[in-house]
Amino acid sequence: MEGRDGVRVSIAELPVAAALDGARTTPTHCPYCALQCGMNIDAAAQNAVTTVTTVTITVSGRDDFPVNEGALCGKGAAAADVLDPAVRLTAPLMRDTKDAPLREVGWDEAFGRVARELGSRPREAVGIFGGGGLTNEKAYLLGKFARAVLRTPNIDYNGRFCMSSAAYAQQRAFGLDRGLPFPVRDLRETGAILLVGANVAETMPPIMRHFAAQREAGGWLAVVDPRRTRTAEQADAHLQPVPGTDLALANGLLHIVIAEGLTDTDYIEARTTGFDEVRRTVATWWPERVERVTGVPAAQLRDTARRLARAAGRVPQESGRGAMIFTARGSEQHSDGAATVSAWINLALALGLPGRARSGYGPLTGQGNGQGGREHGQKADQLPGYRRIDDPAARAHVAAVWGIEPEELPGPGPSATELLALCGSQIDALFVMGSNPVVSAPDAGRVETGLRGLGFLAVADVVLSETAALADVVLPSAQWAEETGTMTNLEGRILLREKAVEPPSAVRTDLEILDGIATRLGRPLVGSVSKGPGIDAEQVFAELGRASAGGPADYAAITHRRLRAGEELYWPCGEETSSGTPRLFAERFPTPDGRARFQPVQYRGAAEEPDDEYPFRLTTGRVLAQYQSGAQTRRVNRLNRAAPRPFVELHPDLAAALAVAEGDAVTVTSRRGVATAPARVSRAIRPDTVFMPFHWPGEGRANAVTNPALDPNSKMPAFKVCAVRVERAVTPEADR
Amino acid sequence: MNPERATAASAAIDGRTDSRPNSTTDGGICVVGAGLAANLLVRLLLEAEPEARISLFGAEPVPAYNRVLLPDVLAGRSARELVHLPHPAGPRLAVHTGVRVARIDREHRTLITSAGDAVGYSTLVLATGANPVLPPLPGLRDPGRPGRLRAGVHTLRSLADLDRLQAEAPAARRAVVVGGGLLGVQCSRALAALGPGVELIHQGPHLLDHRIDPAAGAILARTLRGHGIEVHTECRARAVTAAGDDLGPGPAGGVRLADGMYLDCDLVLVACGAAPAAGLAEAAGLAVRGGVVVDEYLRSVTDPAIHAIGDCCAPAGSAPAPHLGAWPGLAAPALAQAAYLAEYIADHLADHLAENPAGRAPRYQSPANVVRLGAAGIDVAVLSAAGNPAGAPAQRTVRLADPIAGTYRSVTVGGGRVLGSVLIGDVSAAANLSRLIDRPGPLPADPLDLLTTGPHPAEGAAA
Repeated sequence: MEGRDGVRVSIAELPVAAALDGARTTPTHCPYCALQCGMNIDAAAQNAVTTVTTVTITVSGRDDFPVNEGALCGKGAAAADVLDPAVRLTAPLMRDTKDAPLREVGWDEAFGRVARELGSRPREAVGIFGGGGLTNEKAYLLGKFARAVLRTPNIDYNGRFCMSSAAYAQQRAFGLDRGLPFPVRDLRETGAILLVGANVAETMPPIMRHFAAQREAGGWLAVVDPRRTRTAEQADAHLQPVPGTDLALANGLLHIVIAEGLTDTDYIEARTTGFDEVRRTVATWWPERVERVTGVPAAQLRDTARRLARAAGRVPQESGRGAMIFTARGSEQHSDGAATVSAWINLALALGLPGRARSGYGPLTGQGNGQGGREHGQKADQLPGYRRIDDPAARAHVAAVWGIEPEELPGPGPSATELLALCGSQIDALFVMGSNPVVSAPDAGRVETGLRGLGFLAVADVVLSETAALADVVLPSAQWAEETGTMTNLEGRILLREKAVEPPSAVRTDLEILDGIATRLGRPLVGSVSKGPGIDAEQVFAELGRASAGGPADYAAITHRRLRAGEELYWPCGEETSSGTPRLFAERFPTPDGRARFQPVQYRGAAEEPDDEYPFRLTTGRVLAQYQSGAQTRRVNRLNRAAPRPFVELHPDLAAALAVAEGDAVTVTSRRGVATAPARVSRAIRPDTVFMPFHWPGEGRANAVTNPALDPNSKMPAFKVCAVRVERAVTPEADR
Repeated sequence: MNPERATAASAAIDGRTDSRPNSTTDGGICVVGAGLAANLLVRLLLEAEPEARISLFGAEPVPAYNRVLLPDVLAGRSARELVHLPHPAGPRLAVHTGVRVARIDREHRTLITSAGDAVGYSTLVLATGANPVLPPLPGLRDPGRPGRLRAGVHTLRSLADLDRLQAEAPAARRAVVVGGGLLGVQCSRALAALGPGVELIHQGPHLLDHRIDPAAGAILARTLRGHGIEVHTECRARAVTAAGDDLGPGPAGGVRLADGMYLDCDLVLVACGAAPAAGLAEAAGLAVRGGVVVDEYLRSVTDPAIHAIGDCCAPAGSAPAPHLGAWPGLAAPALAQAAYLAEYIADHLADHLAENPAGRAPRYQSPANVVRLGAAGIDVAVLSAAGNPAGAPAQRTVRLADPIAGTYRSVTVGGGRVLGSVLIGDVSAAANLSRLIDRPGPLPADPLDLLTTGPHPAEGAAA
């Protein structure tokens, strides 16, 4: 679909009733992943031959944004296609009874129904499910809506499925969870990179330019992935572990670093605590044992550890240029995901990386606002500014900003998977904003049953997603190009997305939707900040800033005005850090004693290991042309042409054993459910593992099979590995 | 942890319930031995049942360590600090370091320590490991120092052994290693790197003759010779003598061979395998054949309140305790047994299986044997499937040998699975093969691919 530099310009012609005179260029950012690539939207009214004005919208990469330097991937380039009224929601929908079809209604009727349904139930029976694509303003207001309007503890979001393991482990080690502790461009300068469970060439292609530049400058890049992905193809080394064994792998690499005397003892002494116990826990993970558990050859383990150490300057007479360790969902979405991230952080600390120039650890955030979305209060255990909801001082601060008493704030609620599991029983009414859990949640069949069992479901979304299709009320939301708001990208940099075009007349912004429901519940959300009718993102952001002030993710000194003026601001950016913090941890860690904390973690195996009945492993992931649950991208023709349907990737040896040929329908069965999709036979995958992308609903829905077992600390589900049976599907043709 | 389980566990330990046939009023779990298996067992038990009452007895006067790594430390491949094992922690855990258990009073379910203390148990786990086998070789012990090895004669089993060897080896002029098994081969290489000239004598027809075929053994011997090690096979030691071939007192001065040759040396390393340390069990009347004979739940076949794990146990039906050194590969059964038993005991404590625990618990399944021997310039992997692979139908073996390159690779398949493999010099296939031998997976049509290609194509090849 695109080369390494991606597509630069893409044009969509849309029949939009726009109040647009002439042409306008708006600098903004992409609606998709956490890179938040800079793009310009050119909107030109094409004039009225008929009564409908056609607007030509041209999306092009912005050269002045250092993350993408003008490049866009196919998804970003096609972003404007989802603005087409033909593929999106353009009016509120409602069904009068559970059996009735959805019909178009006015906003008054829709708001009235939602307010009545949410307001008439006990607060414990009402839940909110948010999304990692929502702007900071929306995430903040959704949290406030739950806590201050509905007064329910039941709020969490799909970011729980993305970043929770990394978030937990970073908090535990560093006292702070910001995706990358440095700007993306720093990675061009480093000597060695270990990229774990990240297929960035398909999930965030524009970042590959930085990895390529790093290698061109003589750097070394290693990829850890059970599949030989497009990313692995471009690396100097590919470690191909059994899915679910990354914790053993990381402990094994640290074992080698210690065994060969490659630790940074001065750094460990001066800047960390807890190394001794970690050294003991990795003592039993000698390379040959790790090889047997992970399937990664001992020689490759040794080579990897040595190269990282050399780049980190741990080899005498060699000045290393620095080393970086990145993780992503492949290593994090496990029932031991948080411990696994801790193991990678332990390795980074032992090599003295965090806080050093051109060095460090960071998780690659996935969703567009996976960073900001986890900071401002849509997470079950959290208040704005990355404050803890069980911290009395945090409660007092936020309650004061909201003009309520601290006691009125609910306490921590259930995590995303737990919240969805309560639907249809303890939770009877659910409001979903910007998420499609019927496709994206683990054990999705059971989630769907739970949502169908609700007394009331309302969904605010851009398109009629599979989840929205189950709702009693569907509220059509404005899209990224049609509203103003801020996003925080994977670097912890706050970005302004400006309104470029008008939304369809019967579509409202998520902020307006929340305000509308709250007003009808008699508790206006933004009375204190709203100027006149409507609700203004800039004012919501100002309130968010006050609520976050003094918290770990302090936004207090950031304004839309500063961002509009082009300032490059990374949080914390508060009273004492008003020019922002591009790089973290140089002097100290934000822990009580200023030191990073090693965390002893042991590999205990996956929640579900293969056995005779379910002898193989399923791992799930993404493809280049689709995004998350596919709600947006499956509605874009050019993306569907590139990736029209799900598939089951399997090794030729397994295919031969099952008598499956390329394209044959294959069923993948777990203890929870079945998915069926055509076979894609490839040597890129281990023979003991099959892979499915999870972007699709229906019979190829990979998440019908996945395991909802949770990490005990982060509550991350085990998306990346479960035990399955793999068979050739019995087709009508085969019966004949 | 499930709070119900915790309550049940502590009640059972305190003897407040009598639903468990094995409980006594003061009994907890006693673990004799503090090595790798015991350490993992206790840590896993405490993860499952943090309140469990456990007494752990280690006879050596040092905190628990991992003997698997000792040869690597000797060879300079591993930092010595890495031998220290994690500290288990629990409010009712008592760790007795440097305390030897002298006797088991099975009738009263009580251990008697060498200091005369009595400690009751409801469940006893023997993890006493193994001792080095000392061949009946005249002169091994010093007639001037009754019961003690002659100065300059070493074994390598404990940290104390390592300390002595590390202290003496660099100054030694010439070392003789007796035994061409895993330990002998690995230590020969380590000693050669430390300074002394090394002669390796092995009474079998070729090195590792219990595990590999003559062609493979020849290639391995050639590799060792390339590192300056003299290898003598079909060679028996007749005596260890003091200087001047004298059987009297004094430090080692040479080894006299059965063929009459005399190897002049000042260091002797005896590497003739290890034998399960089952004396305590035998004295208590437990069935011992090689090791403590246990059933499929790792319980002594004589007394179900007593379990055995690690090198000291002999699973019923297994070959009578082979030369089970604690080696990187062979630590796997010890670790698997510890993990299995931790779950078994935790379930038992929680009374999940109170009626008939053994009848409903899963049975212990022994993992495949995977032996890895690594030393600078020497790589060996020997794999054999669990059970009785020799009985599998239609076996097919593919061998690739290149004596000049010093590589030997073979794989045996049958019944759709990998039954065994020997890799010398080039062990790159071991990672894939050891996965396949643990959990049978799809095999390539041509077994040769198992030795040459690995699961994915070479760099740049099209998928």
